[in-house]
Amino acid sequence: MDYFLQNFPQQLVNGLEAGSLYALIALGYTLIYGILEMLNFAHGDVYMVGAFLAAGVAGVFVHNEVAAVPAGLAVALMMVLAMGGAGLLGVGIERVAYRPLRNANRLAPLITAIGVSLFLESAVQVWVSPAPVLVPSNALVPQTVFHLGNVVTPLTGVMLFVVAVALMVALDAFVFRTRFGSAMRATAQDREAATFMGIDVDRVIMVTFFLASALAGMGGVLFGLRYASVDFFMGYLLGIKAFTAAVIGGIGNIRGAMVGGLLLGVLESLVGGFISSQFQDSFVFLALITVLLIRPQGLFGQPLADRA
Amino acid sequence: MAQPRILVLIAMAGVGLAACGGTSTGGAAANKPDKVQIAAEGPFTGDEASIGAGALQAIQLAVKDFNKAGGVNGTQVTLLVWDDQHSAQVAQTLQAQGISDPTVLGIVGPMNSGVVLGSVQGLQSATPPLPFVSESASNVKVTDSGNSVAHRVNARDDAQGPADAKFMIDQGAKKVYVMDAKSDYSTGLADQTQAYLASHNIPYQRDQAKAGQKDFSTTITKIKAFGADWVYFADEGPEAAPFVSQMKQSGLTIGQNIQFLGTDGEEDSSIITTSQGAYDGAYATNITADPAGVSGSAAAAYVTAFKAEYGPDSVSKAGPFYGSAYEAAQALLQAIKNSPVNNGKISRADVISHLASDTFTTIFGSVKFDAKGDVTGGGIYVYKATGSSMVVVKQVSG
Amino acid sequence: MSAQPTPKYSIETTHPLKRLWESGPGGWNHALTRPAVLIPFFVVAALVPLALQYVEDNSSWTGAQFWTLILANCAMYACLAVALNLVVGYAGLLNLGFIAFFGIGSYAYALVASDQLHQHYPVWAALLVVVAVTLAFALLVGVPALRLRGDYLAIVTLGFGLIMRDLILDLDRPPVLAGHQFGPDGLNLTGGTNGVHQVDPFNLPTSLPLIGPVPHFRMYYWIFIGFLALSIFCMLRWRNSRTGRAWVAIRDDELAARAMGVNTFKYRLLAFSMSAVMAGIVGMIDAAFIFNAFPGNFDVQQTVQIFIMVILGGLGSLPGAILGAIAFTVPPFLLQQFVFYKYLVISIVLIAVMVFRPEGLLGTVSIRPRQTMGGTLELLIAETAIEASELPAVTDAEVADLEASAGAIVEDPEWKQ
Repeated sequence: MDYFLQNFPQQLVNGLEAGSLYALIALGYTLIYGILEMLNFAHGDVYMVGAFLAAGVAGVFVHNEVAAVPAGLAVALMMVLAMGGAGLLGVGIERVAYRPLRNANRLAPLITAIGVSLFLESAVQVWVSPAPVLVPSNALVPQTVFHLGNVVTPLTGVMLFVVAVALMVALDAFVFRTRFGSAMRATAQDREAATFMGIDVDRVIMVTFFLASALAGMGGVLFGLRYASVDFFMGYLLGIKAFTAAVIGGIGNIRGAMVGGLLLGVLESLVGGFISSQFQDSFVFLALITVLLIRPQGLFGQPLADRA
Repeated sequence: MAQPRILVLIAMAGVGLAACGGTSTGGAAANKPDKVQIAAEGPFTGDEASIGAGALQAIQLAVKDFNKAGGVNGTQVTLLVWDDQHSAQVAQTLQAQGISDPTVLGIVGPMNSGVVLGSVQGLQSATPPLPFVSESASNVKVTDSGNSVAHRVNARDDAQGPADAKFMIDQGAKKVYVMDAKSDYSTGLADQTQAYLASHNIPYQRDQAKAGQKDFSTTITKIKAFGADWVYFADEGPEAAPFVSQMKQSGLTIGQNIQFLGTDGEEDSSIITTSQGAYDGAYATNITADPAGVSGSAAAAYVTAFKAEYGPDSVSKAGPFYGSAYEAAQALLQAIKNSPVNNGKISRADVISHLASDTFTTIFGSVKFDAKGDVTGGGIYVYKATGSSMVVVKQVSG
Repeated sequence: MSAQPTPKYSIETTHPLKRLWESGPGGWNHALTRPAVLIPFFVVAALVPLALQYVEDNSSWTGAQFWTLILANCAMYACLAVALNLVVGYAGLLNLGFIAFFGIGSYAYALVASDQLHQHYPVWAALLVVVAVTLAFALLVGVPALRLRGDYLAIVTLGFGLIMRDLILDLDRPPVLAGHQFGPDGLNLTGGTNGVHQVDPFNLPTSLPLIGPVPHFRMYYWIFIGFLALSIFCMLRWRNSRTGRAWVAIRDDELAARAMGVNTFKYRLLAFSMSAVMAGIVGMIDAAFIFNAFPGNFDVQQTVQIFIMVILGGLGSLPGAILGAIAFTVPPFLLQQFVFYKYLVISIVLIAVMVFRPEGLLGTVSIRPRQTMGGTLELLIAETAIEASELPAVTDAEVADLEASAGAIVEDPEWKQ
């Protein structure tokens, strides 16, 4: 018990940081599911591409020492380019691979998404690098470490948490307080009715994909700065866990995704820290299955009409 | 995959003209085999591609160098590429291609212990048996089962594990946190290390990381809670760099309040770069030695040649076995060359007996296999990350 | 139409092959699954290794064993594709953890027929164990999960597959949870990352009358082909039975099926379990074939590959599943120098197929986008399909009338087109 109490705060902090990353990616899943009712398996790989974009930009600045650009500016540029690049990638994928199948059987876009995911992973593996790529975070972000009692956490970890939460709040405001946000919510609620109301559904979907992918791109930047290493396979497991988080919070529900992500991060950290790190992932998936069986709509979702 | 005879004749003529040290003259057809093939086998795609890709490059370079030096009495060696994708099923299928073709005289690989153990039956019971020289399979059963086809140039788990543990104990370890990365290679090795520590009453805690894992904060919290003064991480993949960076961020600085011992693949100096300096002061062990770290003209020359062939940053992408793969290929090719040619054919049985009896000259010095197929008299090199390179500090025996 | 003189009827005979071509995938499937086609196909397939051996014995070619093994792998994947086709193509359930049942079957057999647990069951007893274990897991996952919507089923099955893989990898030592060890020290259930080795093959004769000695690889090729034939036979019987029609009904319009009294849950569970058991038996044959069971058997990549085979061949089509299996098994073995591009090519092919021809080569399940709104609504609207331009314009009088009864109709200036 002593062991638990002594280490709980640290593991909690670890979990919140990891969880904020899950939440950021989970938001993307939930936005796309809400609007198209499809699981975008390729979302985790869009995050991976965003991370590689960030790594590329960082490499250019740090290794070429471009005219002594202040680190802050370099980081800002990384974020802008990664978010923009990932966003455009998401829009492109939607246009090429998902739009033709928008009215098809649910199976079709799901399978295509698996194909897109595989394509992105292989493309990066073959054309960029099969081995992990360094993100020179030491040169870009001060390596200060915060100490709060026993709890130790680096600046990049706090950054991850703060920026992620800030983005989530911003997204929340966008979706619930702006007109375009109402258009998004209307499209999510009933796509055909939204068309009748004069909403340009194609455009709404495009913007949704852009936003979701840009968030994932930012996640990639924050990850790269925190862990200093990106590889072509990083999106796979993270994508599954982020999706788990979205489902636990209630798929299609933005606030649910945020809470679900943080909750999942903490759960994972506590299980790994106090029960077993080998079975950590298994516990996470078990949690997913349990939630789906007991309360399929997740924590914040609306009760679903039973379609089985 | 088959080289038409015409190309062999042209190559022969070319070699004869260049006269670069080949042992044959144009007319000594009696000693010239018609066709010689070897296979490179390993996980070149899939989840273990990070160790396979570089090894394949090394083997291709070895064959190229061997052919340039005259091949087997003038005959160029053809290299078959068998991507077993870390699956014994695929391996067995691909090996069948070689089993029934008598001109395939040996395999460099397989790289994974699991694949070796899953396919050695077929190789041994083939008529004639097909020998292999592995550059990375470390499970003890690979050579303990009495198969005459089995050879490896790397350390056995039960040699390296105890040597690693003994090194830590000699350095004054009081509490060791033993970790592996859940792979064919690392789990068995960490088990051996753990067993040695246990038998010498050193308290330890055992944990496992996952391949591709980046976030080690949970594990590091446990290390601190355990109060370990040494961290042992058996891993041949890229997990070491993020691990030590996060250790440093959490307040565990290698060389100051914690010591670190890694294994094959972690004596790679690129980890110092990718961990942004956090790796400084870490130790790593390796039997076959990273060629870049062994001062000796053959190994250093190899690194230069590798970079010349594949690009300046190819070594950092080549994984942990690009040295041992070249070494294994050299041993196999020399054994083939030493074997007698009868009617233009070399028999596998002769290759096996030469593998068992001959001494081979490789980039790491002389190599000879013992009766089981392990390398005799090999020690384990201990490296230390000093500045921006890995320096050999000690050699311990297993 | 105004009256026209009675046309003279002429009977136009179309060439049977042209008729076949015009009958589309449905017709092709029907033609290809007739006994007159299937029986010769399997007879030829069974004779192929003997022919290869003959060629090898009488020439300098040495590829008989290699090619037989490639074909054995093909046959194995064809069996798996047929089983996946059952659950995805016929019943419309997205089982992303499908390969886990293959793995469970292979480990179940390996554990009762090797030195891992020191059990050496004979084939029939082992078969019973494999079927029982696979069925148990299928029910364990299926009974709770099949009540969920399709997407959730996909995620739950994916999660199940990942959990199974982790369990297999981790159970080479007694599990330690919260500091407590469960089990004796030397407990090694699954062999961990190395898998289970030296699994007993089936106790089969090594030579047959009339044919002579039968090497291991040829025998197992025949076993896989035999199981493939058996699976196809069962599929065809099912398809034309009440069960098969229930599956088609559920897949095409579940709401309507339930309205007609079809017990959707029971049929879904049946499809799910049958496909799982089939995969498990294939796993058992595989473990005996390669003398090993590996954690790699649980990789999600394998499920994706089998999915691609089924999609390319065409959902719902048995010949398509076989074609897909051949298309994706043979080239990778032959094009070893291009291995690095393998997944790149596969993923592009999959995306292209889904975007341009989602029904694949021979598929009979329509997952194409519908041009109108879908489902039951479509049926209702179809009855009253009217072009928008044909609708009469709304007059002011009608608007006034409506307003009087329903309240003011306010035009929202924001949503002008």
